[in-house]
Amino acid sequence: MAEVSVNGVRLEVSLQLVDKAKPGDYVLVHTGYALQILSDEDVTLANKFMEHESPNST
Amino acid sequence: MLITYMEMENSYKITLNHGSGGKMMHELIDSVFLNSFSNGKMIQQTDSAIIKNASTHHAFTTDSFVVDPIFFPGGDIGKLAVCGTVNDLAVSGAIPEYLSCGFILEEGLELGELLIIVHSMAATARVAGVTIVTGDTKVVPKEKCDKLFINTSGIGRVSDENLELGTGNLVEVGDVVILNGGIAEHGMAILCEREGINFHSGIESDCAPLNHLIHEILSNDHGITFMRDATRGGVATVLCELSKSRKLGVEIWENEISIRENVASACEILGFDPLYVANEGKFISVVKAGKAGQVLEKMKAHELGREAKIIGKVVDNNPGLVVLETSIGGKRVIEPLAGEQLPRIC
Amino acid sequence: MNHPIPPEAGNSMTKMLTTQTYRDKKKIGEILEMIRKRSSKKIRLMEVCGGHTMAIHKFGIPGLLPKNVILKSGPGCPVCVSDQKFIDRAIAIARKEDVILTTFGDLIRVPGSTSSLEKERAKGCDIRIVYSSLDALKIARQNPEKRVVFLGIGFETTAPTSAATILKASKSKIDNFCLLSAHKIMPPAMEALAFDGIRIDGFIGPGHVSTITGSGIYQILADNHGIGCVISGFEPVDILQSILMLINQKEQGEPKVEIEYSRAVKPKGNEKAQRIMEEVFYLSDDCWRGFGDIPMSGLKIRKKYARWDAEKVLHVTVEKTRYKKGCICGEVLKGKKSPTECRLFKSACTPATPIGACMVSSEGACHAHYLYGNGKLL
Repeated sequence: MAEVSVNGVRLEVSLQLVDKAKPGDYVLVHTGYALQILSDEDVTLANKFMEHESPNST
Repeated sequence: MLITYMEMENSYKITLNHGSGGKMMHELIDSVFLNSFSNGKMIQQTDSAIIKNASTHHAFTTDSFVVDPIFFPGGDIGKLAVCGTVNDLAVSGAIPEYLSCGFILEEGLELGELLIIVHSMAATARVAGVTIVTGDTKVVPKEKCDKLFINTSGIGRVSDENLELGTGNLVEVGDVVILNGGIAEHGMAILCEREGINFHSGIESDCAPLNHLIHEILSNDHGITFMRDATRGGVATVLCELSKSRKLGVEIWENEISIRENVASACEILGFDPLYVANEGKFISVVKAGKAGQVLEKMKAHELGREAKIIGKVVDNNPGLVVLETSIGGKRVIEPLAGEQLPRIC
Repeated sequence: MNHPIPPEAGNSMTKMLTTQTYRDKKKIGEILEMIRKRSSKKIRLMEVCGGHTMAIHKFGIPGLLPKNVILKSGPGCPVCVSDQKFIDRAIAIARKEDVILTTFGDLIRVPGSTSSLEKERAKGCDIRIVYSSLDALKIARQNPEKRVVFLGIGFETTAPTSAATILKASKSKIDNFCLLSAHKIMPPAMEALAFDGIRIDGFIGPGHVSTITGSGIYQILADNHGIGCVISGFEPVDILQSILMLINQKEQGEPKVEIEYSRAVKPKGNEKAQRIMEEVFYLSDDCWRGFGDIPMSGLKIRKKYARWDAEKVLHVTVEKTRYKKGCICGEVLKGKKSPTECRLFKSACTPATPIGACMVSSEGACHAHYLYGNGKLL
């Protein structure tokens, strides 16, 4: 079990479904379980997306 | 046509939905209570009945308090019982003066707990400046009630110019809607304490007597056309009732409605819409646009109104509907709450 | 549920993932502008996750899109697709003397053939709302003299959590806990829709289901049915970005599987969760409300864990299923009809007195239409 904080609300979640979660990780939480450790991948995706698709470049 | 509950099959049972402040509660009130007690005062369904006399007018109200747990962050059932009735009087434009209290105690209740609650009632009454003048106590066998239930009734004086404040009759297109602070704190504080929900949210109930703040803004020529406290059913329910009864449109702006981060977060985790969650220290006031600045200034000067904001306005399009402009600029209709909100899973 | 968890202060790992980033009005304006520029053709998109249905309505997204972009709700709400037989069985179990029935909140109001869990609770059955199956397990531990039954509903998102809880019950030898499984998997229903000849140009793919399953399961839809799929997150920027990606696919005539929600969804998904799910459950035919039987779409508990399978350990007589007349939930779930086309909508059927399951769950299409008045202003 681990404690996660969602904007100030703290709750206990089980880490049984994820590998190698460590303090400081962002996790996706669903019905008392962490389902995934989140990456910052799509911040870059979003930015890339905006660059490629921005109205100026078309 | 409304089918009265009397005509329904005998097996029809009261469910928790009937107490949720939504549509089902209104149907119950209409078909059972108003049907039986029918009179001009009650039919108005305002927070307090206004009793007019030649010399002085009185506002009279009653409320029962059942809350689980009886102690919660930011208050307890006793504080709630005083605030609830004081606030019902205050938003009706009255100056609350006297309260009664009735207790139903469950056999086995700890005397210590009762003492804490009664002291809390006394302290809150002092802060509100009201006197508890009469009371009653009954004890019922174990499991016939949940620890204790409290009923309070209250009476206050209303001046001539404030007689209509609770009815909505004065509201006109162009008036603005003011809210005195962050929403959904009471409801979420209670919910987070319930068995089965293991959160540590740090959320405190906003339970507080609003009569001093309201007294401040009800100065001469105040421009206020309507007030109601946003208890069960939340801000959404107050505005829906107003727009429906007056057949006016109400527009509100999500970005202007304050909500603490942890409250928003708890709502999101459980799938609750904070607009429908109960408050015990928040009220909606509708004010003539020209007087809004003045009312807002007075509110902000008071501890319980520091975060007051204009959250919307009364409009002539979409009569009878409350329309929310969402944080991203979309629009949606706010419908009256139908039943208790349920925690969802996905 | 979708919660990017911010790190504690002083431990700022990245600049990432605040909700604000995904609700940024300026960015949303830019994406909407591109959607308007890019979409020339009529395009019908379906979301198959209740969380998306909620978010789309809550943020008022339909009104922001150009008229040629049409959003439909599919069978994404686990409560809504649970067959009435399942509710009837749950009610029969709740009526047993020594049972504490535990459930997610949104199931409690779903009408069965003649009653609902809410009505049974009013009559005195011990029915408790929990937030997690782990809470149900805790109740079992605290009430050793009772049998604690948990109603397992949900797709690949929730099924692994139920599986993990069963494993925990098994490991901790909590034998008075059991689970009634109505767990389902999503791809067969999506394919059933495609076979049904429903006109959809693309799926807004279920973000949380895909977190577990990965993206490969949707390839068959693109390859065999020409329906693209963009797996989406749940914030407005996510959803609009996914819509834009699906529009691009349509305009280019290239249906494919893409991941927008890459902060949570990896192509292979969460393999550990998949393993746990497979350890406990096996695939079986299952009945979906509105669809009927869909082959190999349900998850049943393996023999090895029969001790925690409510179907095996509790013997109840379930009343004969009586389906409600006039309710078109089935058509709504398939995206064939809109809730407003139902003659019961808002008259006999409301969230407090629901007739169909789509009105019960806040993720149901009818409930979302009711609560958020979709269409009224458009």
